Amino acid sequence: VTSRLVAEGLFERVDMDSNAAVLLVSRCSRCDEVVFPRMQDCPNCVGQDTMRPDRVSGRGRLQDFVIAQRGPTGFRTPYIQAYVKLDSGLVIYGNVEGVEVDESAIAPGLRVEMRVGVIRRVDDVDVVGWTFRPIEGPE
Amino acid sequence: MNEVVVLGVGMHPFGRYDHLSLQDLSRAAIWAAVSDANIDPRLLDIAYVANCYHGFFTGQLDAIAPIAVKYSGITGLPLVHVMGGSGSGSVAFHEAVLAVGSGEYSIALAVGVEKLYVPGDPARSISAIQTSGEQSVATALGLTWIGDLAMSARRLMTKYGWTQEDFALVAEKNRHNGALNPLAEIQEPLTMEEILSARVVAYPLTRPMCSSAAVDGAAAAIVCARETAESVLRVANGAAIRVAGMSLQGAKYISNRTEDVRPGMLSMNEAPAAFAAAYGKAGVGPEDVELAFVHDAIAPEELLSYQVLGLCAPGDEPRLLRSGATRISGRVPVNTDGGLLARGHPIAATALAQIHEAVLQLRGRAGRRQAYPRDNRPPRVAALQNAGAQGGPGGGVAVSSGLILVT
Repeated sequence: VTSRLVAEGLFERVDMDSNAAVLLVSRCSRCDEVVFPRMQDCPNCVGQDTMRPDRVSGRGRLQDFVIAQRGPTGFRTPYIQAYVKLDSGLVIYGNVEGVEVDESAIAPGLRVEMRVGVIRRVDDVDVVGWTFRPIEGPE
Repeated sequence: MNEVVVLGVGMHPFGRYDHLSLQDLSRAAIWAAVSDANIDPRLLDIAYVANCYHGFFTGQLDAIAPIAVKYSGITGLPLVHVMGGSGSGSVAFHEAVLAVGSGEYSIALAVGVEKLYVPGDPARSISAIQTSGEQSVATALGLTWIGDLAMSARRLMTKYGWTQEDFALVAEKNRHNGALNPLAEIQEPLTMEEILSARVVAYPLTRPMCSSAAVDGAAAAIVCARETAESVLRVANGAAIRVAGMSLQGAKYISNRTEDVRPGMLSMNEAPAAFAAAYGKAGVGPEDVELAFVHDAIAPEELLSYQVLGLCAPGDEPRLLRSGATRISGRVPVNTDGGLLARGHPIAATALAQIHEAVLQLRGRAGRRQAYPRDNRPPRVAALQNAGAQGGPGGGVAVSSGLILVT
């Protein structure tokens, strides 16, 4: 089994024990908008070449979630799909792991953290991306 | 722009056709439209082909348009391939309308065709339609269309007090309509109890509240300028259905600092702008709409479409639905052919199937499904909503279509 990243330049592992990660984003030098994934030009103020590389915390709160009974090839079902509002305001997608796959096990507002890991296996290749896991509450 | 009319429409029934090729499906829809238009097909002088996944399944990434058209025997015209996810059919139709409306071309064909059914491998069909959303981020990480839509539905349940029963009633209505449609993928009606007790796909959505990714089909429409229809083709004055207004809109980036970054539901977010423009061009308003087709990829989308098209005030959707107004027997029937839930959603063929049914209804030729919404006559004004393809910063759809067809 070999592995590959879901895509280059999306995240950086910052804790080798927990696999906690930060998100590689761009921040606009003109309007301060934060976007992900990285880009050169700002979609908020429509500025050319105004974006600068930045990193934001992978911690945030669960905004929306749903339990998917079916998924694309290689995902173990059922699994929890979720949108998380990061502390920087960015809303990003990730599956939720580390909780029971049950409607009553989680709720919007849950404090979560991004962790790097294998998200699916396709044709004997492990695809490495991130999932979110619940954490205890330091703001 | 010249006024544009729909000369003819045609479909290959939606369903699962393991033994049929892409060109088998498209040629059937093309010839059905040619026959309906009652024209010599050699008069077609441009064709737009909507298809999203032939390349995914076969590796044939280009030359889709000639494959889809030339096996019908019709050659010698420019063949243009368009893609825009679930909105692909609207893009093809819009291009065809612009081509003849501008006067640059005389008679244009728009055909949408899709083969998505993979025997024994539903995950493969899901993987295919995933490619209509940007791959690098959310979809590669596990987000599915149904999951995304279900999350939006859950937010709207909180916002408007919608219930799972409301979604079941949409599905019950559309399954009832599909059972009257010999071209529909699913022709079995279901009771509310059967819908509510069906397998959960992603709560609150049970299986009958979701369209299927594993379906094949094709649909086509032929358009020309009204003047061409009457002076060259001798179509009786006023007999053809008019394209009174059409507008495509695309999602605008919404700042992360906005409180509600994901405002509604993917397919509907730009629809108000599309319909403001389409209603304006047509010189009609929501109160004039006597028939509607909306993008019910999941049942809650149809509910949201009622406010988006202006058929009711925000939050009043369940009341409108429960009143029976949007049933075939109501004053503004919605998705008389069964919608995406029952007629089926072979992605690039969907919008042209909506147009197909709208034209039949406006002509008064929809058979057992014929609606007589007002004054005991067929509908005169139809509103058609459709959208597709998602990606880029902020997500949102690439194309959101509002279309008004009138007799």
